[in-house]
Amino acid sequence: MATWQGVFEELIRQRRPALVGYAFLLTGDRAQAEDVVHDALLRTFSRTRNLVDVRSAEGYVRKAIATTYLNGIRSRRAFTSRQHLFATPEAAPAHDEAVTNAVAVRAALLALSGRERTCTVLRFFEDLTVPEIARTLGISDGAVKRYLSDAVTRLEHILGPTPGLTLDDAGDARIDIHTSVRGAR
Amino acid sequence: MIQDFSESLRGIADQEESVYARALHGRADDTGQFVSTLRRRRMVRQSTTTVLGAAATAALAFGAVEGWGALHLQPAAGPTGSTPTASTSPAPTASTSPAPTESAINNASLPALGQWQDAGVDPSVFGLVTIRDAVTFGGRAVVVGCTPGTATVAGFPAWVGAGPTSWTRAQGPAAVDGQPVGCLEDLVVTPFGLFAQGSSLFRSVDGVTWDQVVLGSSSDAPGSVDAAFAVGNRLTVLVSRMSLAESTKASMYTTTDGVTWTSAPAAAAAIFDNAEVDSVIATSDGLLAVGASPGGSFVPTAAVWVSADGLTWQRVTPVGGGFADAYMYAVSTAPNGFVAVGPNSGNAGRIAAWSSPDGVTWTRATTPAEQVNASTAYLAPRSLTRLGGTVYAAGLDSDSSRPQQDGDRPALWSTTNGATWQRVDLAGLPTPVPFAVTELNGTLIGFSPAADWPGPAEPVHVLTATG
Repeated sequence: MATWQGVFEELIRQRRPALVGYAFLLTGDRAQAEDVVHDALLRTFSRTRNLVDVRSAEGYVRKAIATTYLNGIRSRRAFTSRQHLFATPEAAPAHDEAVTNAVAVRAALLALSGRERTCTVLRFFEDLTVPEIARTLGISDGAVKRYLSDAVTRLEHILGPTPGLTLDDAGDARIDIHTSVRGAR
Repeated sequence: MIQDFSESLRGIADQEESVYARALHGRADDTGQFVSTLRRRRMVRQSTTTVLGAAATAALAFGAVEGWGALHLQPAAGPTGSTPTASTSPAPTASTSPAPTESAINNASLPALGQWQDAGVDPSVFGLVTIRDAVTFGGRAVVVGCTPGTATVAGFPAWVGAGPTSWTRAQGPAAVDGQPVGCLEDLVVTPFGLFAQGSSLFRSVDGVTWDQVVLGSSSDAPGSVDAAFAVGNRLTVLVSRMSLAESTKASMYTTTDGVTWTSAPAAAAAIFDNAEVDSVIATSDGLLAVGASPGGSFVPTAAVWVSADGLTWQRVTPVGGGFADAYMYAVSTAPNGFVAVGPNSGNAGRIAAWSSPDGVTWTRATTPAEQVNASTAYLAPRSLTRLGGTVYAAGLDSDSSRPQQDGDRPALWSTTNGATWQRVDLAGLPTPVPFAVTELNGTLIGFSPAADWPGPAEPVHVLTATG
């Protein structure tokens, strides 16, 4: 079996749902999330050389998910059968605090632009630093800071005070959202 | 108040993961469909085989070639029909640094297969790798390799030999940006050190200890290193970065001292946008690279590029015609010029082979080695080596109609004229076929199996021969 094939099959078997869950944060739509994951898998395994284990391969695929989403690649659906993905989410009591919270955060994410949302997910879900986000998306550090700043401002406006929604601990790229970003425009 | 924002995101992702996992339960497994499509699309960049040219060119330029290096013969007049414009052609000049004692081998004159012996090296020294490239540098043999299958190479995949039977592991970073180095494909000798190319670039001044070379700023890494071209005192590195779906954006970085790197003009790199460079050899006039570039959506066109200086390249093959729907994975000198091989990407499933008298004019072989049932099988030669008057191609014979554990088999083909290829019976060989070859103190040292040797893991065989 070819090198990539074993890694690919193991990745599909073990991590496909997690990748779709991750992509859903970006797309806000299950069918699109599956499309993005499929595109990212094909992109990654069509070209990437250094696929020697599932863990590193997943890293490549996650990066590809972000860029695929941003590039708006939706044209290939050869492997997508959509109907089954429109299953209604598990019913939950309306007063369930976790559900209410999730719905609010999902709605707030969808209020962001694609780049803002991607930077936000990479920062707060993947825990990447600003330089790491910039490298993943192929944009400048300054652009990442700008997107994150705008995103946080909008999210705070929608969600109100939210623990953890701060850019003060962005690793090795500390951000002063009140001066550097807006001022740089 | 909303709970912690990161926790909220994780909760949403977990919820969707659960929903999707349940949805998958009722679906037919589509992994096979993915694999089938990937096999057609995949531009494997792991096909580089005896890529000795760049190192040989550098060595020749500095007059540091001894012994077998003097046998660096030009198999033909080299690229002459359309000489590339060398806007920044570096004239070889004497280096003030100690010249590497490179003994580069051009396989134009390697002994025939029956003249090689197995050196009896304990294969556990190398572990589960296939050796991709071998050079002699600073009085040592240095080899790099990759891991077949899904195993991860522990540590830096390079080894140093004081002789054919004495090998130790080189020292270098095991991971870059959290990803295992895993695979090193090429070695390039320059006046300012030895360079190893995988997805990243590494440099060593002694072959023993290696450090990563950071191209671009640390926060703006340019992408994956695809190839390294050395001519004279100039080393140029081709880098690609994925952009839109199947496209890549190429850039090149160049240095004349190994320390100061400058970004090449975008126009110089643009010729490799959306392209794959899979193998490079030296010609009498510079370098010759083969690979593929798009001929349409997911349709490759085999391609040949030539360069006098490693920085300015010219494509010498057309889009379409005898180059359509195929990749060139490997190139080698041949008794009457050059040969290149690769797989068809489409439905034919047969090997694709080309020959050229001069590196510029290429002709597709019309009599491929064999037919296969294209609905279940395909052949993919990936490596070339030339022993005596015979060129051998090693690669994959894949047939999904066979039992799963036997679906992928290694295969070997041979040609003496570049036009007609025959399958070689592996069981009838006197020794394994050496692919990456170097020379150390008058002894030729070759390694088998070839890069990307498919099927069950094959231990590394170190083979020796004398002139």
